[in-house]
Amino acid sequence: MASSKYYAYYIRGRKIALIQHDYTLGSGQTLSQPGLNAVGVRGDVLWKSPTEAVSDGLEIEYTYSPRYQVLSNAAVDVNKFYVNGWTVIGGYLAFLRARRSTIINWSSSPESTVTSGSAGDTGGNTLDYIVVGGSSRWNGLHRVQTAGTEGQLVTYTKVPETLPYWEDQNVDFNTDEEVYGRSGGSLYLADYFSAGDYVFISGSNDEANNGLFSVDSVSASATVNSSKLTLGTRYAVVNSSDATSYATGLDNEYSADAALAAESSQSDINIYKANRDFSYVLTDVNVLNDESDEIDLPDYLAKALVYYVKAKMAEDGMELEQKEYNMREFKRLLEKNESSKIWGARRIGSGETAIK
Amino acid sequence: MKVKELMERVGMTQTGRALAYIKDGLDEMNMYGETHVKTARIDIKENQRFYDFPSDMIKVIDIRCKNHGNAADEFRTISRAVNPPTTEDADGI
Repeated sequence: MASSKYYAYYIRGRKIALIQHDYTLGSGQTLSQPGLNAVGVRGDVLWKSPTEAVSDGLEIEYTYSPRYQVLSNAAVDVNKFYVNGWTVIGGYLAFLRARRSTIINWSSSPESTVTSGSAGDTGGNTLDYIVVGGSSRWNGLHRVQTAGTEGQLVTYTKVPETLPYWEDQNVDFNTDEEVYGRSGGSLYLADYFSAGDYVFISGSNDEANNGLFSVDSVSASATVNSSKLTLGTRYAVVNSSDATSYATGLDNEYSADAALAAESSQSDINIYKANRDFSYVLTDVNVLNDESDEIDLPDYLAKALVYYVKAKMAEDGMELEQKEYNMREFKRLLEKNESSKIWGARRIGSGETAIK
Repeated sequence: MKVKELMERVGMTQTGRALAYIKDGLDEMNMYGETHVKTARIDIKENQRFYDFPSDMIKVIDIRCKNHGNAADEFRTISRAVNPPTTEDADGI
C-alpha cells in the first residue's frame, strides 16, 4: 500500500519545482525525521527534492489554445500511435517507437498516416501535423519533418538541449547485454551515458537488439571495444498480433529484461541517447491554417473573438479608442460566458484544518 | 464559425493576418477563462526537483500529486511554497 506524502511546489521560469516534506511515520506514532541539529532556521531540511520516484505522480491541469481539431475517433494503430520516448535529431524533436518484434517504419502503413492523414493539408499547403498526448513535456501540436524508417518520427519542433546520437556506426552486441563500439573505431559509448539513462538502438539485424533500453551500468575505458553500456530493461509498444506482448494491453508499455543477441558484423547501427516518455501521437489533425477551417469555439465565444480581431485591427491603424472599445466588449463577452455557467447558491466547503 | 465568416464580419481580406490574430485571441481567451482544458501526468523522479510544463500550456489551473496527504493513490491539490528551501539538497539544488 502506498504511503502518504506531502508535496509543495514553486515556479522557476518555465519549470515547476517540486519539493517533498521528508518525514516518515514509523511504527505507532513515532516520527522519523532529521535530527534537531540538521534542521535549518525555517526547517528547510525537511523540504527536499522528491525523495522517491512515483510513476505519473505529478498531475497538471491546464488550459491550451484550440489551434487544431482531431476530427476522427482515436483508434490505436489506426490513427493513434504510442511512442516509447523522444530524442533530439539535428536540433529537432524526434519521437521514438519500437515494437518487441520490429522497429517501426513510420513511412509504412498504418504509421504512414502521420504524413498522409493530416486534414491540415488545405489551401494548397503540404503540411503534416500530429498531436501528442500523454507526454510529460510535448503535449500539443507538432509538424512532421521526416517519417523515419527506423523508429524515428522527426518534427519541426526545436529543442533547446542536445542529446548525443550516432548513425550508421560499427557497433557490436554480446549476450551479456553489452553494447560497444567496434575495435578500430572511435565511438567510446560509455563516455556519453550514465546508469539510469535511456538509449534507443536501431539498425540491427536481430530485433532483440533494437528498441528503447535503460542503461544499467557503464564501464569506461580507453579501449573502444571495452567502453561499454550494459543494458537493463527493454521497452516496446504493444502489438496485437504479438503473442508475448499482447497481454500487456494496447494502451500500456511492454517491458522486459534486455536479452541481446550477439552481433559483430553490423555497420549501420543507430544509437540515440533518449528520454523515456510513453505517450501517443494522433494523426487526422485539422489545423487552423485556412479560411475554410472551423474555429473550435462555441458560437458565443466566437462573437468575442470577432471583437478581439477588430481590436487588433484598430490598434494597427492607431485608432486607440476603437481598440479600447473592442477589447472591452471582448472581455465583457468572456465574463458573461464564464458567469453563465454558474447556477444556484454557492457553498464553501470547510478545509481539513477548519475548527469543527 | 469558420475563419472566412469571421473575416467577413470584421472586414478583413488578408488570411494570414486574420489567422495570426485569431490564434492570439484564442490564447488570450484561455488566459482570461477556460475554453479548453486538459491534464498531463509527469513521472516524479527521485532527487529531481525541476519539471517542464507541457509545451502547449497557456495557464495552470491546478497542480496535484499522487498520495499527497493520503495513502489511497488519490491525486490531491498541492500548495505553493512561499519560500523555496534555501538549504542545498541531495541533487545539488
